[in-house]
Amino acid sequence: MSLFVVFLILTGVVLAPGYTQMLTDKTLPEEVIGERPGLPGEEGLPAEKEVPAGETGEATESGYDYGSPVPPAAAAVNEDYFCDAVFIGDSRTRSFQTLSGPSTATYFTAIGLTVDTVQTKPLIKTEKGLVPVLDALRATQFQKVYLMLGINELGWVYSEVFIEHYQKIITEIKKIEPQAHIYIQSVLPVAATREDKIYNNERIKEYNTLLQQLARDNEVYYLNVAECVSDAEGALWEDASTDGVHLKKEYCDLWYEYLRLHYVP
Amino acid sequence: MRRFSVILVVLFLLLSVVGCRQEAEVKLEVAECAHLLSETIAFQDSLTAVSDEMATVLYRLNEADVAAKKVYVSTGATAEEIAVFEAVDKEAAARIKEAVLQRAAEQEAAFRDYLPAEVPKLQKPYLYVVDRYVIFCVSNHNEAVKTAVEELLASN
Repeated sequence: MSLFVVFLILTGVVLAPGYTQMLTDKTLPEEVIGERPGLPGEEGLPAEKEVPAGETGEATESGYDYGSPVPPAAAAVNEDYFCDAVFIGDSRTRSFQTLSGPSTATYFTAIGLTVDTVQTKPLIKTEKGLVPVLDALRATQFQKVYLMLGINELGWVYSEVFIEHYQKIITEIKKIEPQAHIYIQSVLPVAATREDKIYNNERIKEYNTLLQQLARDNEVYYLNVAECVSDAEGALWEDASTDGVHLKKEYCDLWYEYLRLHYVP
Repeated sequence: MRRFSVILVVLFLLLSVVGCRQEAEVKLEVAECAHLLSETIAFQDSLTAVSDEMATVLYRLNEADVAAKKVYVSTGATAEEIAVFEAVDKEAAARIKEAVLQRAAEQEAAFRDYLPAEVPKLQKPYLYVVDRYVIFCVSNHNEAVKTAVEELLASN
């Protein structure tokens, strides 16, 4: 009996910190609705105006403000910059790769890729056959990772599930290469004429807000690439695609130019 | 002597007939063919020419097999595509054909869950191998592609 009591006490000591963390965790869904402390409101998002680095909000120990999108640099990098970069994404990133993306980079992309299949589904062809994206990443030398996921998950009932899986990806990337720069790219908008109950820019904005918070919480970089292909209402320009979702080459070029100008040395 | 002359004339005539029946060499400008298809076929999507390097990546080609190539890809909204290759010889053309079939199979697997409507195009694409040339086109208009290619070949 006394051993049982000791066991209960020890269990309480071990679990208590976790319960405390859960109660104060700022990533809980009910804290995401509306304006969050520490994040600017939509009208003040640094992506909508030029803001020098380090002046947009909270500073971390390193001085970098992870809560704000990566600001434009003074000069664009060239293709060589991406020679140690890996792009992970769905069909939009695949098109980016074939139409405009730097040939020096490595691409792990798949049509229909989602934040869960990144971890589980054998989609990437390697010498060992088809493997999941993260397995392919483990066998790759890299110093930068560019992530763009979310368009295929817009129909998920719970956006927090999307963020949970995204979190797992970030955690895993950090384990594989702790020194790598991780860039979370915002989900690109869809054309206004393409919008429906699932694929709409309101939902995309919600996801992007969550992604920006995820970047802040994980001290990784948030790239607001969506702004380079958005009209004044935040929708994809109508002539940017044939289906309202997948970008034509000219707009993939804009995406690439955005990446060349927005980076963290 | 007269009989010998008759034999010579007959031999000459026979050789002429055989010579005429030999297959005329096929000549095709791959870029011209691919461009023609991109301009004349009613694709649903917008197709863009990719770099030779990207074409090699997409089709996992052995560069030693390829004398010339031109590939047009879609935005990703569809599986539509154009690929025209000139191989270094007929054996290389056969290998390129296999690479094309592999590409079609991979695309079919990729689109099956994502955009099932594209699968029929990939299951029955236009694929024509003539001499050292491999012409591949994914669209809803195989007959129009066939006509365009035949007319181009006839004009060369």
